[in-house]
Amino acid sequence: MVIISEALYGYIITIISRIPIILFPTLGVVLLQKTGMLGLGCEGIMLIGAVVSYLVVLYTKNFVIGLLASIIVSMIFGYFYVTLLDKTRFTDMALGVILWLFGMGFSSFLYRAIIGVRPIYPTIEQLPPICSWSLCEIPVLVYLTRLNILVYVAILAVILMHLVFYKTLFGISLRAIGDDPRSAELSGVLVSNIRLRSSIVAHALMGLGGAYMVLITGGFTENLTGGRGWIAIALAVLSGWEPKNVLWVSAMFTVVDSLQYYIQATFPVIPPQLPLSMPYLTAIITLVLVRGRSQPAYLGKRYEKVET
Amino acid sequence: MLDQKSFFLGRSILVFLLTVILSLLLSSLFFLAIGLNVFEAYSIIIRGSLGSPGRFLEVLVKFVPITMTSLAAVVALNAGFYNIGAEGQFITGAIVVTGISILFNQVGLEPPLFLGLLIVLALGFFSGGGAALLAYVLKYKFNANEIVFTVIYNILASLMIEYLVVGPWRDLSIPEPLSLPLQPSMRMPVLIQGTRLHAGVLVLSLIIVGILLFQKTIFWYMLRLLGQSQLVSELSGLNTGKILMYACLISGGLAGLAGGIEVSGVHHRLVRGFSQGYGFIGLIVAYTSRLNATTSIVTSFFYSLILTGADPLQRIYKIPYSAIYVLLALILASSFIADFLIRTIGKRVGRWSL
Repeated sequence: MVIISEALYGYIITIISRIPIILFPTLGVVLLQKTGMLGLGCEGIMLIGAVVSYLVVLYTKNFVIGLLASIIVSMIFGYFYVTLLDKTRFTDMALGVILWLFGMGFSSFLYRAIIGVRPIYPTIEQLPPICSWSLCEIPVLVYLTRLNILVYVAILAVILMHLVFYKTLFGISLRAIGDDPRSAELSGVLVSNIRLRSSIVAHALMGLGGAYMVLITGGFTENLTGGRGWIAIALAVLSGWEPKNVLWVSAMFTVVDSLQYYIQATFPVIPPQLPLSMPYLTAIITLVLVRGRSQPAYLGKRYEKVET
Repeated sequence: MLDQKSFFLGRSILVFLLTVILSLLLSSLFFLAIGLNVFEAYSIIIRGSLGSPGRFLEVLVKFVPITMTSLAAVVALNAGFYNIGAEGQFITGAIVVTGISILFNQVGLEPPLFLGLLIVLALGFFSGGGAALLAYVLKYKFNANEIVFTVIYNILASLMIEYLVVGPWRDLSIPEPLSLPLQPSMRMPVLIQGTRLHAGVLVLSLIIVGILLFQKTIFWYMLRLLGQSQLVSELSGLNTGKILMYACLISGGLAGLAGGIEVSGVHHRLVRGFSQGYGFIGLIVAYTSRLNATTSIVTSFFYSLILTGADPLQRIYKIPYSAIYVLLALILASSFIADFLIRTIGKRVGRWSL
């Protein structure tokens, strides 16, 4: 049996608990793009989710309320996104960019307006592991109990989304809408309804990603997510819009992302901007190397209700 | 019965008026929400932008980069190429201009003033354009989504400026992290002594004339056709790849040129947080003016009035800079809402719909 040193073990735990930061938004983007919407507002929604959960947890000291608050706020944005998309003349790309800019401005504004400028910024407690009593010191399972609850939620979400996509009628209609909404509508699928539901759930996942990032780092700074929403879109392309691929894609990204801290600590000679740029370079290389796979045929196009 | 031209003119005037009313309403609500006196806030904004000749010149200084980045966005978006990287291209232009100046200093070369300025303009244009062409090549050779690429390029560019300012190009005679200054011959001459108004305004006026003429050319028509439908333009025998390439070059070039002019006219060196989000503001302007070049020039002027007026507002009330982004987003939203309302009412009334 290989004996893993405590330090390495702690390192692995840190990496695993950082996976959901990118996994939740990527899942959200996959869901949204399977339904034919681009969801470029991902970064903005993540930031809004992050700032809401930070402020709520700071004042209520309760993780559950904070997570719920950010999910609800992101759901409201999801509702507005799909409504504006279908009812007004916004193009999908324009709406995404607007949401992104709005999220960037609004999140840092909310943070500055409520927290203000202080010498030390208040931090919140990090998410606890699922079980920290001595009861849990079971020889093998101890490794599993040191992860927090949302890591398991993330894995469950991946499995659930796979099942919904490929085993339920809802999933079939959803994929049909992504490929051809008019045919889907003519065969009796309630397109607007499914688009609405998919958008709300997807935005909730994006907001959850931002909220989780706050809970794992313990604080909010302006532009906290630093482009992870955009990276999530690149990863969704890499995963080929398959929920089960999202798991390893985001795990791989998190390893690269975490490597930067290791490099910064081990090689202080290297300017810090080089390791900082690694995740972005990875995303670009991903984009370049992966040729467009079976992209949903109707991705990003305007859907108009069939007039009967 | 109205004829078509006056119908569209009348509708755009209605949309414009409704946009102004709605944005005043929404921003009043916003000011109320953050606890400001609404009328005082408006009077500070107006006095801060139009109150004195000095402030008005400051508006013009901001007008230069905002117009250029908004035109950059307009050109690319009209061609259906989603170049969100105006921010990155802006920074690239500034970095390349500063780099060449530092190189000249090391070699001991000093071009005469006119040549120096020409170098600034050419380098700014082609480095920004090159950055946009990179996105173009990646899209058509490797099928990489241009939006994701250009956004990530923005982040990489700002990391680059951070590195240069603290690292190799740092001016060691100053405690703050600033880069070495530009050569005097590569700085835009100041037009009015004692103000910041520089010769970039003249370059801008040339560009505005150029864009207004450009709108009348067949190339602009082909570019818009390509943006509307790639299929149609291919079927009508256009060389879509070439059109798009030039559109990218012009779009990125305008953003890069703005960066070059900004560094040579205002800062004279690279600073941290150099761009202040001009690329994003340009994008907002482009969407507010519905991707129309002429309208976007006028809209840029309004936005630079608001941005300049918001500076004293921000200083007096100590509200964060990001509040201004929220304000801009509200104006953009109200322009879309106004458009939507006029359309809906027009359909209801019936006579307005053509």
